Parts: sequence; structure tokens; C-alpha cells
Amino acid sequence: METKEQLAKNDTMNELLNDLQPEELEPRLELQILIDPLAQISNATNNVNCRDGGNCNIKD
Amino acid sequence: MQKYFKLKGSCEFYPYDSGQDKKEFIIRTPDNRQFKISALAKDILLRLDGRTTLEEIVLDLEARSVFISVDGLRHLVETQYGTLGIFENLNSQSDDQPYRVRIKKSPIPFLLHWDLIPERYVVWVSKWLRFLFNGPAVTPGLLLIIITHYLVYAEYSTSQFLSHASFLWVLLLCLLSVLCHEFGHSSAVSKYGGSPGKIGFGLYILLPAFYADVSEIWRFRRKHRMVVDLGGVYFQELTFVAFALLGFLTSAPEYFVACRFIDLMILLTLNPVFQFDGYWFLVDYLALPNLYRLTLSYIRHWVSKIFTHSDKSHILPPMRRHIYLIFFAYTILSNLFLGIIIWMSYRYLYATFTQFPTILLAIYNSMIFAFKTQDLALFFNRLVTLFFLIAFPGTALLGLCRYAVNMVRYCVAKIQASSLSQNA
Repeated sequence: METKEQLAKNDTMNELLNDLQPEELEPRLELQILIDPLAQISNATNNVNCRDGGNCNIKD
Repeated sequence: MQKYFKLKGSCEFYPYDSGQDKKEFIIRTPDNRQFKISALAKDILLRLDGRTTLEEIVLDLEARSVFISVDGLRHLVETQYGTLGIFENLNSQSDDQPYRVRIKKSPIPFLLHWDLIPERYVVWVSKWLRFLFNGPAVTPGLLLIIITHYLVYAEYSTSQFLSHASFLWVLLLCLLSVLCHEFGHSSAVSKYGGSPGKIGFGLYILLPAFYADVSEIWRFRRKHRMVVDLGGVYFQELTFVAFALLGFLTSAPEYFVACRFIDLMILLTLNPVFQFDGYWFLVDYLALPNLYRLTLSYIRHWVSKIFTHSDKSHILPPMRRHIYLIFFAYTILSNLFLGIIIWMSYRYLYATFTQFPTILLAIYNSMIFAFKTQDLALFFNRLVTLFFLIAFPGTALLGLCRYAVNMVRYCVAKIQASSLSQNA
């Protein structure tokens, strides 16, 4: 059975080892996502004009 | 038994500003990884010069009331620091060196990524743009941002006007604003004496994203790190100003639609759940590197405590009370928000893949019409539109495949490990 002194010594040792452990710093990549403009395409296709028996062009 | 360790000359030490009184440092390894260490660890590493024995170091530590055995110190050096590749005489495995040196690569948060603008060009451009962070430029810049926002949303907001915008031009303007965003970060790094890294493009989860490598800023003062974090938003809002002014001059709806997309992208990037600018700002404000990993381990600890009635305590780094409250709130909200993000990702994928055939057909018909009427400009416009139309769901599909492959590999590795342990 460990004495109080031994327990205290172990706690101090653990604290010391924790203090000496290195902590890796993540690489810093500052991101910016590109919004999907598919919604914009959907709005554009709502203005589709169909002429000449089926030739369609998206409104410019 | 190894008596001498020699730290490689290419290792560098920098002070780390944690916003607290405790002195901490960063060691940069020869392969450009960075680790936060205590002042005591730095002193020990600097003593490991190939001439000083571990016994001498232990005696010096005892004089400073730090008590550790020689074997304890050797074990610490070999297991915690030996695996970082920072010692000259620990590069090969031998009978005298039972601890294998593992030079790990830090994970980059992209499924796939490519370099777009090399470092030397980023450094050169950033030197010219860093004046925008000086006081005389910031104040009028912020004023212009506020004024143009008011005008764009108050005066140019009718849906009829905006629906006439050309998708392709809007996309190109958005791309330009994102590039300005990345140069914002790089210019801020240059402003505070650092050297910015490359700018690249990659697949973050399932979304295409640009990134600027600003890993050097770990050694900056905390307030300067926070400025770098917000530098991208600042530059992108300056792009908003430029587009708004061009829109006022030309009355072209594309500029005003692009302005709205800029604000939407900025709102997304300020979200701290994923590793966007908002996350890094919070990391630097709280001075908690590896914040996300810390919140995950904290959640796991409490879940385990509730279900297994474990009485183990979770060791958090020392933090002031208000910092702990923000950390606790972030832990709960970010994990809740993660669930919402997963659901939104599903909806995005569903919309992307179900709308794709309809829109593809419309663009194809438009290209045929342009070809028949020999309208080269329209044909080219639709060709480029087609490319981007395929690129977005294409990147999402690529991301899904990559995730599926990683999941299969993970499951196979787990099964193999489980059968090995059973056989043993």
C-alpha cells in the first residue's frame, strides 16, 4: 500500500510530466469556401425562353 | 544506454502568447511542424547539446527544485521528443534505442488540395497590400464598407433587377473576392513581420474552398493572430466596396448579386464550428490551440461519465472562469450545430444531384442554339457555365467517394486489429 508521501510524489511527477509534454499546434489554413451558385442557375432557368419548336436558350 | 542527445541546429524556438502569465514557447521542427512546450521543457531541450549528460541536467533541475530521475528524463526525452525527429542521434532504430522514431505528418483538413499561388508570389503581393492594415487606411475602409452596405441593400435590392444577373459573371466575381480574402490573411501576416505561405485550393468536406497557409502566426502576439484571422473578412468586404462602386457606375446587377454572395460567404466563414476564420478567431481569443479536439474529448468524457458512472476527471488546460464559460458554451453549441450541418449537407447534395439533369439539358440546348446561330460569345459563355455546373457536383461526388474509401479502409483496419488481438 502506497504511503501518503509516495502518492504525493507520484502526483508531483505526473504533474511534471504533463507540463513537459509537447502539444502539437495544428497547421493554420485560413479557409474560404466557394458558395455553390447552382441556386443562381435555377433562377436563370426559370427565365428559359423556348422558340422555334423547342430551341431553348437561357436568358443572358 | 544513450547518454547524450543532440538537438538539431535547424530547430527554432519562439515565445508563445497564451494571454496568460505562464511563459510558453513554440519549437519548430526541421520538417516545419510546431509544438507548444513549457519554459522548463525548452530549457531542457537547449541543454541537450550533445555534450551535456542527462545526469548533469537532472542535477541542474534539482537545484531548481524540479525532481526527476535520470531514467524518467531519458524516457520523457525518447518517447515525447524523440519521435518528433529533432535529435541528430536518434534517426535510426538499433538495439540501444528501443523507441522507434516516428516522423508523423500533421493532418491537413482537406480531402484533396492543390497549390494555386506559390509562396514567393504571395509574399510579393502581400508586401504591396499590407498598408491596408495601417490606421489611416482601416478607418476610411470600414466607413466605406458600412456606407456601401446600406446603399446596396436599401437601393439595389429588387428581385426583378437582380434576376437579370448573368450566373457566370457572378461566379467569376465571387472567385475574385475569395482570392482577395486569402490575400487579406497573407497581407496581415506580412504586416506583422511574418512570411505568408502559399495560397491553395481544395475540397473541404464536400465544398470547394480556397486557403492561405498562415501557420507562422502561432508565434505572433495573440492580438495580432486575431487580426490575421479577421484579415480575410476585411479584404473581402473591401472587395464588396469595389463591386458596389462598379455597380453604381454601370448599373450591372452582377455586382450587386456578387455583393450578396460575399456577405453570405462571410457569414459562413465566421461560423466557428468548422475550421474557418471564426474558429481560428475563437482559438486565438481563448488561447486554446486544438480547440475542436479539446471539445470532443470533453464531450466524450461527460458522455462516458453519464453512462459508465466513471469518476475520472477530465484535465483541461488552466483557464480563467469567463474563458471556461465560453469554452463550455462552444462545446455544446458546436456539437449541436454539427448535426444541423450534416442535415444541410444532405439537402445540398440532394438538390445538387436532382437539379443537375434539368439544368444540364437547358444549357446543352442553349449551346446547340448558339452553335446554330453562330453566336460565339453565347457558346463560350455556356461552355464555361457547363464546366462549373459539372465541377460543383463533381467535387461533391469526389468527396463522397473519398470518404467512402476512407471508411472502408478504417473498417478493414479495425477488423484486422480485432482478429489479431483475438488470435493473440
